[in-house]
Amino acid sequence: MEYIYLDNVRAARVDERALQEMMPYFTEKFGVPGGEFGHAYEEEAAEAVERARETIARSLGVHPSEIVFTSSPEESNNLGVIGYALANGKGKVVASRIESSCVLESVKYLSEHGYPSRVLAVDREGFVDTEALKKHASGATLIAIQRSNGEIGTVQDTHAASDIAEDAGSGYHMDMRYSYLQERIDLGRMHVTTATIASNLVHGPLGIAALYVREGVRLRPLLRGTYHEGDIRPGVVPTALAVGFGAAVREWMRERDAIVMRMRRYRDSLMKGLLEIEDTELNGATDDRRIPGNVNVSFKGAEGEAILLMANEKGIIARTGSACYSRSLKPSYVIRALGKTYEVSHGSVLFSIGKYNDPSEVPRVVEVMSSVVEKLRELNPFRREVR
Amino acid sequence: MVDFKTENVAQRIGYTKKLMQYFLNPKNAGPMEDATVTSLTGSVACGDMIKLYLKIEDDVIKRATFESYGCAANIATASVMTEMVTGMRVEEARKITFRDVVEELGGVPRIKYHCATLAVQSLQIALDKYEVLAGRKPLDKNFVLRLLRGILDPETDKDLVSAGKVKDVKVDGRRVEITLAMEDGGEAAKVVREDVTQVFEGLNVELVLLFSPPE
Repeated sequence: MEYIYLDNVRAARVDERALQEMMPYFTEKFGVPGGEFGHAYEEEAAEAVERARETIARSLGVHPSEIVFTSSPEESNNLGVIGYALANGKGKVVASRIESSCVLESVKYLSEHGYPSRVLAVDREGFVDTEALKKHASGATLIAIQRSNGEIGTVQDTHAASDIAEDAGSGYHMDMRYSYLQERIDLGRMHVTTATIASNLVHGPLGIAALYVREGVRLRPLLRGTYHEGDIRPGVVPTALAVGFGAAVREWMRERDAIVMRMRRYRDSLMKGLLEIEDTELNGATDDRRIPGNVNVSFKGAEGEAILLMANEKGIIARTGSACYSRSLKPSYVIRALGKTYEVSHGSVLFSIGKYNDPSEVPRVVEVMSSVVEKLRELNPFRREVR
Repeated sequence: MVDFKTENVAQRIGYTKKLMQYFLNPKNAGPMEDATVTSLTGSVACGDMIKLYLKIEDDVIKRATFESYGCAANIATASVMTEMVTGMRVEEARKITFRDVVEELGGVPRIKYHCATLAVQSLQIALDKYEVLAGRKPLDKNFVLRLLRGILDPETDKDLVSAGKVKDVKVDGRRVEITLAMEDGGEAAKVVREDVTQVFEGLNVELVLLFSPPE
């Protein structure tokens, strides 16, 4: 079956050119970056990795030495939160309630180890209240507010948040992976101490991510061993994956405006089409206060896992925040944090758009979702009584 | 045959073909106008709810239909169960367990067993109500507690009784007074109120629901 794939935050197709450039680094150029006196294989690998690092640094407006390669965005977020706090004092750690679980779990770990913590509520669109942040910033060691949310797409006012952190003398960790390359973000102009980006979200290979670490910022390593990457983590950088990450960024940057415009068009037309289905509600912010690659709606009276499986049968791939789809059998904490009902949480569906999605797909997506939702609502006894 | 002790969880992730068929094209879906008895189990809050309709004549289940708000496993287990019980005598149907339903579908992921449990529970409750309506069983406190065991507490994901939310039950003829240990006015109270009202459907009782939050 010809699928329309809209689960790009889960896993995305690797850019073809990035893949081609990676291949020799698995076979004839299999070396890894060496120390100061590397042999030929190490030298070749080091050059390739540094090229990738430069490309990524340029895309963020920062210096290459400020980019640390990690194994995953989860590792980056752990380092940015726990690694930073352990090296920089015992003050308060402040985060938003809709940070990704690796950030929230890191904050929880710190609070279990003597760091006072504060998790801030968000409003119905997912925005953190800047005034509340200001109030809780004093005495903070670290503030962690994401640039945007992977589930509901809401883009925070991180310029304000980073200013607040600076005024309070606090570090600022920004998980910006869902915004990376979809929005223009100049890290050099913000008071950000660490920031997370991920390769696969820009169609690079899985298994590699990065952490921006501002010049002069100290982090405590979380894993022990022979340290690489600015003495922050052990484990060699996988050359092929770094090459793929760099190439994917370069390829995206090459057509950046066209890609982002296409994603935005896709988002707007999908959102419009889906919201025309009766009793469908948008989750997250409207307009450009949401990233181009995100649409999240709730179909009331239909359950997310059932929606997804039925849509899958008809060629549409998406995700849900429903309890039934999760291993924990708990509904999405992000949707619940918006103050929405259980029913809205269970019926929430996330469509994440990648650079390979074309807006011409939208009518079919809307048609399938509409028929699936109608079929499931027919089965729902409460729904029938409402009618 | 599914061996519940040795079953490898890893092999049971994902749905069987048969389950998917019952989900995509459910049999016996929809309300029944002339049902002898109905039952409702689960909760909107948990995204897992089944309403069962039975037409019973001379203690034989002539027809069974269902409605559902829930996942694929919920729909499929309810659907296959309605097929299993059609033509059965009431006392036979009473013996059906969730294992029978799981087996009928060729297995259900372990994390979804509760769907089969819910389906069977809705059947047992419907049959209880049938016995009460037929005057063979008393409408007493035990019966009311059984009904309340079919409703999930949104705050704990356990049933209302196991969650300790049922503070008191008084039955006086057709008057049933239930006191719940929870705050009134919130979303949880609202869904519980709807669910409890539904559960007593067709029993012709005067239902009084009181909320008394724990101190």
